[in-house]
Amino acid sequence: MDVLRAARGDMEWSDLIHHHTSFDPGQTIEQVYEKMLALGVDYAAAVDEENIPVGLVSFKMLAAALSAKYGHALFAKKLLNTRVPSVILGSIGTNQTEDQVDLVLPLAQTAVINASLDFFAAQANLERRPKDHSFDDLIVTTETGAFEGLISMRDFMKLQMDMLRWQESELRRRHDDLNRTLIQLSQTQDELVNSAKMAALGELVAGIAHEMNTPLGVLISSHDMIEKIFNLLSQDQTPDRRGQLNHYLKTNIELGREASGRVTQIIRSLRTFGRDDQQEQHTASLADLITSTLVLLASKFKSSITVHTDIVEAANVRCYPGQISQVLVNVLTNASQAMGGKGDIYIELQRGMHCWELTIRDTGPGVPPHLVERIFDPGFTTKGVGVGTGLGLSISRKIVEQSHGGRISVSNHRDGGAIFRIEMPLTPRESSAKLPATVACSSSPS
Amino acid sequence: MTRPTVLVVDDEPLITNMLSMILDLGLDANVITTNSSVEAQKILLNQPISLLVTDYLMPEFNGLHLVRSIREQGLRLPVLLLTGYCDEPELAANNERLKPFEIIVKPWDNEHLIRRIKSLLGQG
Repeated sequence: MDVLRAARGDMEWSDLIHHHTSFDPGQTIEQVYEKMLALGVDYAAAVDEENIPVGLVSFKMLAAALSAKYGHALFAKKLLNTRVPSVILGSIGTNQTEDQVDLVLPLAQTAVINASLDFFAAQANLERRPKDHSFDDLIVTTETGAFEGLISMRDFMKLQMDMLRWQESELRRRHDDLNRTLIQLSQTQDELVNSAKMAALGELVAGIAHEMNTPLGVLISSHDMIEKIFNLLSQDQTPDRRGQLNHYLKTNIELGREASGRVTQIIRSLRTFGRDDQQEQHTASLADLITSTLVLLASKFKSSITVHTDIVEAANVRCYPGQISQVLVNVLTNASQAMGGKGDIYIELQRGMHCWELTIRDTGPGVPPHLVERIFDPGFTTKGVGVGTGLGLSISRKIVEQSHGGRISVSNHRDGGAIFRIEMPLTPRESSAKLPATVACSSSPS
Repeated sequence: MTRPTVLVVDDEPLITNMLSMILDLGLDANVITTNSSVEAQKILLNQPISLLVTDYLMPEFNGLHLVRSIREQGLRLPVLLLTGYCDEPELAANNERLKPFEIIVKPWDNEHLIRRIKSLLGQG
């Protein structure tokens, strides 16, 4: 296991060194070499930076460690095939004197090489040269075993080091590329979520303008009416008429207050939906988010869709409120389109064991079983050209699952229609709170 | 001459309450209001109404549907349709056979509204 630990970098390579008892520091390399020959080729001598022998390394252990860490690079056939030929040219008829000089330097390494030839040859598709050749030369063959040339062990090791360096820089480059791509992907996803939100807002704007029209019209009329009633009250009137005018005055003030409240509610809903809240999560009431989303969709649903709600009022979640509004708009719009703009939508919000469970059910045809798995795929749509982008549900899943650690799924209700289930994590405070009561109501948005 | 009766139908109580006051102060007429197009249809078929002021988009059926249904029953009373959806193709279509029929876009101007209603009632 030490080998794997060294390969992983959990321990130093020097920890692999076995301090043999009969191996005294201070011996010459030649003495060590003689001792190694006596021991057999299972061990290599390890030397320090000044070539002073410090111990023995089990060759098998060293080879296995090298192989575990660098094997993919050392023995990658693709790299050998593309890079070896140029080395071979320099190695055939190699200058033995120079090699020998170099080989003297780490005698221990020489021993390692000598003992490892079979291992390397087997792993790297290299074959041992016939015995009449110097032990430091290797035969290079093609993948089919045809002779390619010779490579000296020194060049081979150099080649391995080049490969390692190249591999390391390549890995670093790929790692940097992946990091950059990841950052770009994250930015693109955020931009996509925002673009989709703006597109949804664009579709809602006409309806919201109409929704504003009613209370604004009432406000304008009430100002005219109040002025008119004041004028009438300043004239002679019968007591009955005066009483009625006073009643109208009061009614105008009440209608004006209600109309102002409705405009405020629409503006607040728009602000919640449109807010750029990617920087920080907030504690928000899911019930409020559902209500404000229904305000935005009121005009779209008005004439033919009845929304029934059964929601826990005190359902707080840590969230990006604008994004959750976006999810609700997406799922509710999807429900409306699935029903051809006519039918019933049932919204239920209750507390589960570990999360808030929000279900949105429609009375449309439901989702064909073979499409259930695909409905959240980007670009998937069963709607006609120009109806939806096919991104709404995909973005909803990203928002719920990636940005909030929740879950969104779809199934078909036993009575027909699709049922979307959104699970949102409880806040820490709510995790330890008692189960709240459920408030039920049924309403048709105006 | 008997006092005319105006029926106002809009699913928004805000609107019916406001129109009720505007018409009461601006016209010499009885004003009946309802927030249901189904209820409005029943009233129209069961009592004499001089003029119908109706919203367009309502949950049960829309104002144009209401007008068509009473025309089919032979009722020729004048109709004023109030809507914020003036670009709806249904409204832009030729509604010649629904006459006397006018459209006023929300938000309305009180004086203009009263003038149009008086004109339709022959009080102008």
